[in-house]
Amino acid sequence: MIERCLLTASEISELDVINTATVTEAVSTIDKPKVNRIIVTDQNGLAIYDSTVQESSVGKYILLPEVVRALEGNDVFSGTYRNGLLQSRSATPIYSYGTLIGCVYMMEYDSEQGALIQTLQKNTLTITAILEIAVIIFSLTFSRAFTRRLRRIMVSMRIIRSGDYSHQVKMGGHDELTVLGDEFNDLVDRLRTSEQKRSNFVSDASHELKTPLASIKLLSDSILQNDMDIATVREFVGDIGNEAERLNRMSQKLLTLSRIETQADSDCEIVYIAPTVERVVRMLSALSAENDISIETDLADDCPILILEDDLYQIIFNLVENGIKYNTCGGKLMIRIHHVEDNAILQVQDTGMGIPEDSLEHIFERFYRVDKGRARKTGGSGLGLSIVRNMVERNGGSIRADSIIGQGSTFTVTFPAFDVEDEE
Amino acid sequence: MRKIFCFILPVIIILSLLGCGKKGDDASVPVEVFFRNAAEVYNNEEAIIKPEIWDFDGYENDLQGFLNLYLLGPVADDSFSPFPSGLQIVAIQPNEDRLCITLNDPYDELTGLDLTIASACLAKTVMGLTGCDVVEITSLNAASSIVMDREILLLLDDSSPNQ
Repeated sequence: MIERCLLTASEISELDVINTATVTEAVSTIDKPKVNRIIVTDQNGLAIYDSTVQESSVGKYILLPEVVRALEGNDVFSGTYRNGLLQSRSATPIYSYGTLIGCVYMMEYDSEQGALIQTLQKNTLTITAILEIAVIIFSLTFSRAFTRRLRRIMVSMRIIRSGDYSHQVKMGGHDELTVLGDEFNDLVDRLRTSEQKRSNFVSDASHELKTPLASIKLLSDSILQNDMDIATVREFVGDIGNEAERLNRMSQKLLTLSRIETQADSDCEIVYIAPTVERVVRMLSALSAENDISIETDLADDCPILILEDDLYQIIFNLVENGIKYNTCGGKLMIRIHHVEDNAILQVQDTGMGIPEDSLEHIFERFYRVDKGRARKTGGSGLGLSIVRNMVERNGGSIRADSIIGQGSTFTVTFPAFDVEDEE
Repeated sequence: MRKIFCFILPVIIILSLLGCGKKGDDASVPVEVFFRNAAEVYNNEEAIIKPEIWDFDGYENDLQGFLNLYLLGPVADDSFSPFPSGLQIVAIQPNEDRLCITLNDPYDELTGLDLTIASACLAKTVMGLTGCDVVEITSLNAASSIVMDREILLLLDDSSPNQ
């Protein structure tokens, strides 16, 4: 359309006189440009030619945006689409010998293009609507599926909360919710195990504590209800004292056990085992003398380990004390430290009566005693080795018991050795 | 509860925005005054001159004073003044079928299309204020003169496809 404007402007610029008549003749000589309207203005914007017969704008000031822009020296093209019709407008200045003398304006309605645009619009609207519906449906479906699976976990949580720890949630799939379900099941398993342990512990503890309490009650009732001589009363009171002392030791050890299990990991330190062994042996020298047990040590091959010093002391103390208490009169207790590859080995070997093979796997359980009668006599609560094992494992070690009936038992504790040279 | 909240919140926001419509002028005697449109728009809906609403209250007996204020330029940023600096009305006189406006010397600085546009803005403003159908604008030394009526301007091409 610009080209048609330029062509018309070129024809008009060659006229000697520019008025309505000359311009009309000039436009008529040009091949019908097939536009709906042609307006020619002078440099002031006054129309001197209008192809529109009815409501001609000749004699009017044409201040259309395109005409104003053209009269400023620019070629302009614009178009608008409305109601199925594409209206194109074009304007170009007319120069004569370098002087702006007017402008040519053309306007055209293109119904074919308009129809094409209208069809495109409709198609776009249709596609957009279909896509929107699809997105909505997909969003609803996805959110339903997602919330359904989440709801499954919520329902499982309620079941677990009601006390059924055997329940497992089945998620299916291979996404993050599946991982969440697996983690949830794992958590429930641990909860179940913990709950079982707690239940067992409460059951065992109450049973064990009940026994000395029952004894105390029985003895005190006997004293109160019967006339006894002073010597018998003294004997009964002594027994009450012993039971109370046993209760006290048991509760101390229970507290220790509870503390071990609930305590957060503390910072370990580098500790040499030998000095701690020597300290324990000194502490228990009176007990060993009383039971006529000789203690031998082989601490030549000492090495450092990473452990809490208090834990190491408790471990050695419990093992040595057991070795003294459950030894034969006049027997021996050998304590040995040696180095095997990257491990430090502590061995406590006694010459007691030994532990039956079927009891070996239980001796580290709480309240387990091989010989209840003998343990009671020696004040044993069945918690000492349980404490030892917890402490050993808490510090990254392991413990093993070996025994031969009639010859004695050996407790072997293994810790990873700490390499001082690497640290330096 | 969350769903109800998600529904109510956008409704409240939309309702609050309804009150933020274009500020209507608080003019007690609103009149249109015309200036050149600052935006170049070719959508055949916006013309190159556009109206601004001013308050004519108090100027009923001082048309010249109001028009001199008008000649100083627009208030809004979306239009600009087509008048040269210092342009003022010297006299306003009715004459038969028209109203004659005499302007001072800066009017002679306008030529060509600039003269046409400035005269069109002034003429439309005066016709709107006074109700007259024809305005004749001249300069003080009669170097320029232009006559405009209500039908003389074609601002938008409203010709139909059948022409």
